[in-house]
Amino acid sequence: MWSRSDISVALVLALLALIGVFWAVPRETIPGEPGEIAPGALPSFALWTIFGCAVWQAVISLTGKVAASGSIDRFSLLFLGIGGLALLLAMAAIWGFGYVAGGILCILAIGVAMRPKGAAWVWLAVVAVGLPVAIYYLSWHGLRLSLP
Amino acid sequence: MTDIFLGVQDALSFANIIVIFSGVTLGIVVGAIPGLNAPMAIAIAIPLTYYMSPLSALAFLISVNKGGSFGGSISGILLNTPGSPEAAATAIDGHPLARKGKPKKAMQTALAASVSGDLFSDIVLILVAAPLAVVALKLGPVETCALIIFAFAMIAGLLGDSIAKGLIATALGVFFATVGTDPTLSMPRLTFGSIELQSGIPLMAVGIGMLALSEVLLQLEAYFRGQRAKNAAVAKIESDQNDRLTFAEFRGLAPTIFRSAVIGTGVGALPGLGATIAGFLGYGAAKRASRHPETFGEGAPEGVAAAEAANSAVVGANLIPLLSLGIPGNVTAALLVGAFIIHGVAPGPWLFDDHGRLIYGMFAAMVIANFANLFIGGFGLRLFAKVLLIPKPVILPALTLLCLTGAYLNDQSFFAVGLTVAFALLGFVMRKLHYPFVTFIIGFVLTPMLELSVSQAVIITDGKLSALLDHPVAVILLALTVFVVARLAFRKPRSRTKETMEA
Repeated sequence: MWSRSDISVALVLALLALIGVFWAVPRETIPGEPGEIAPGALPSFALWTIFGCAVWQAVISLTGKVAASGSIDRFSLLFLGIGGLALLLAMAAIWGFGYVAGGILCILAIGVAMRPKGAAWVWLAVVAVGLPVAIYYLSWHGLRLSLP
Repeated sequence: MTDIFLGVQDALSFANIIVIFSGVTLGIVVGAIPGLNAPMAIAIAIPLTYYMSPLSALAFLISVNKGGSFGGSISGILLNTPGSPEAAATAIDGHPLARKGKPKKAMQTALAASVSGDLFSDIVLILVAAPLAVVALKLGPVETCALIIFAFAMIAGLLGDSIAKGLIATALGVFFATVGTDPTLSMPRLTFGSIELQSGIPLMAVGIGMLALSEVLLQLEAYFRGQRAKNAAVAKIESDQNDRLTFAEFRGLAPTIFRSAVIGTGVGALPGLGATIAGFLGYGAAKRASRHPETFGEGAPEGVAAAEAANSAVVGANLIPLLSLGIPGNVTAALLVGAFIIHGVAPGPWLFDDHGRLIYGMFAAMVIANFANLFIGGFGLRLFAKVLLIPKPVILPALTLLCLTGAYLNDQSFFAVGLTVAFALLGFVMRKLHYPFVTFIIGFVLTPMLELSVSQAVIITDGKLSALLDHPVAVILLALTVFVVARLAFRKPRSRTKETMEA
C-alpha cells in the first residue's frame, strides 16, 4: 500500500531542492576562493541530499517497499492555514496593543474557539488575564527583559 | 581536583538549590500534562535563563528534564495516557496497578525507580565523560567531520520511518543552518537581502517552533477534530489500604531497577536511541527475567519499576556524547547545546579543560536534582495528580502565548517570532508526514561544527581523497556510515511509532 502523501511530498521536496540548487544558492552565495570550500558548497550538498533522498523516497513509496506512513488530509491543511493565520494575528495583536492586552486577546481567542465547558470558562478567564500580567512583570522586573 | 570542589560548592549555593527545585517542579508539572514533555518545557524555558549564571541555567534546564522524566508517568499511571512517549511502557503495569486501588504505590514505585535509574546514569556520566573527552581531544578535524556524518546517518536511520525521510530531515536542518553569514569569507549567504537573517536563524526559533509550538498546533488540531482527551478518568481511581511502597518492597525491586538502569544508560549513551526504546527494552528484560511473567500487564510493580528506571537512566547518559564528543544524541541534548552557546560555552571535549568548574558543578547539580525529584515528587504526588484536571482549553492557549513570548525574548524582535511561527508550521507538517523533526534540530545544531571541520579537513588533506588513508579512524567511521545507511535502507518496513520520533 503506497501513500499518496509520501509520494507527492517527496516530489515537491525534490523540485524545491532543484530550485534551491540551480537558483537560490547561485543567486545568494558568492564563489569561493581557490583552495577553500565555497560558501555555497554545504547548502548545495544539503539540497542534493534532499533531492536524492526525495527521489528515493518516492520510488520506494511507489513500489510499496515501505509501509505507508504519515498523511496530511484536507482538515489538517485547512487547520494549518487557519492556525498559521491565527498565530500571525496573535503576533500582530501583541505588536499593536502591547504584550498584556495582546496576550489576553491571544489566550481568549484560542480558548473561546475551543469552546470550554463549565468551570473551564473561569479558569480560562483567570489564566487569560493572570498569565500575561505575570509574565510582563516577571520579564521587566525579574529578568530585566523588555516586552512590548 | 580544585575544579571538582569548586563546582560542587557552586552547585550547593542557596540560589542554585532554589533553581534546581523550581526546575524539577516545572518539569514534573509539564511532564504530567498529557501531550507535553520536558523538551518542550526546556525549549520555552531557555530564554528565562539568559540572566542566570551558566551553572544556574544548566542546572535549571537539566532539572526540568529530570522532573519531566518522572512527571510523564503520572498521567500514564492515572489516565493510561502517558504524559510523554517514554512513559508508555510505565503505563502498561502502572495503570492496572492504579485500577487495583494502588495509585499511590504505582506512582511511588515509578518515582523511586526513576530517581534510582537517573542517579545511576548520572554516576556513569560522571565517571565516563571525562576519560572519553580525553580520547576525543585527540580527534582532528578529519575525524570530527567523519564522526558528525556518522552521527547524522545513525540518528536519521533510527528515528524515522525510513532512512530517506531521516536524511531529508537532517539535510533540511543543515540547509537552514547555513543561512546567515559564511564563516570563511564572512559574506551573507542565503539571506535574500534580509539584514535580520545575516546573523543566522536563531536556534531558539527552531527549537520553540518545531518542538513546542508545533506540538501545541498538533494538539489543537486533534482537539478541533474531536479527539478530546478525557480528564475525568482520574477521578474513578481510589486508593485502598496499604497503598504505599514499603522499603522492603523497594529492596525487592532493586535488581529489576539496576538491570533497567544499565539498559537505559547503554541506550542513552548512543546517539539516536531514546528514552522510549529504553523503557520498552527495560520492561521486556524484566518480564523475561521474572519468575511470574504472567503478572506483567496486570499491575506488576516490577513492570512499573523496570520501565521507569530504564527511561530515566537515559536522562544522564544522553549527555555522554554531548560532553565527550560535542555531539547531541537527542533533542534535549541539542537544546542544551543552545543553552551552552547562549552562555558563551562551546560544548565539546575541551569543556573539561576550559570550563571544568562549570561541568563539575553541573554534575553536582544533576545529583542534587535527583534528590529534589524524590523530595518534590514524594510530597507533591497528590498535587501533581490534580494537574491532569486542568482542561485543554486553558492549557493550550496559555502555552501558545508562552511559546510566542519565549521566541520574542530570545532576540527581542518580532522577526524571530515570525521565524518561530514558520518553523512551527514546518514542524507540524513534518510530524504529520512522519519526517523526524528531531534529526532536523540535530542537523541544525551540528552544522556550524560540521562546516568548520570540513574546511579544516580540506586544508589538512589538501582536498585529496587519498589523504584520508592517513586518518584510519575517519575511514572506519565513514565505512560505518555507509554500512549503517545500506543496512537501514534495505531493512524490512516497520510501522512508525510516535515514540521513536520523539526519542
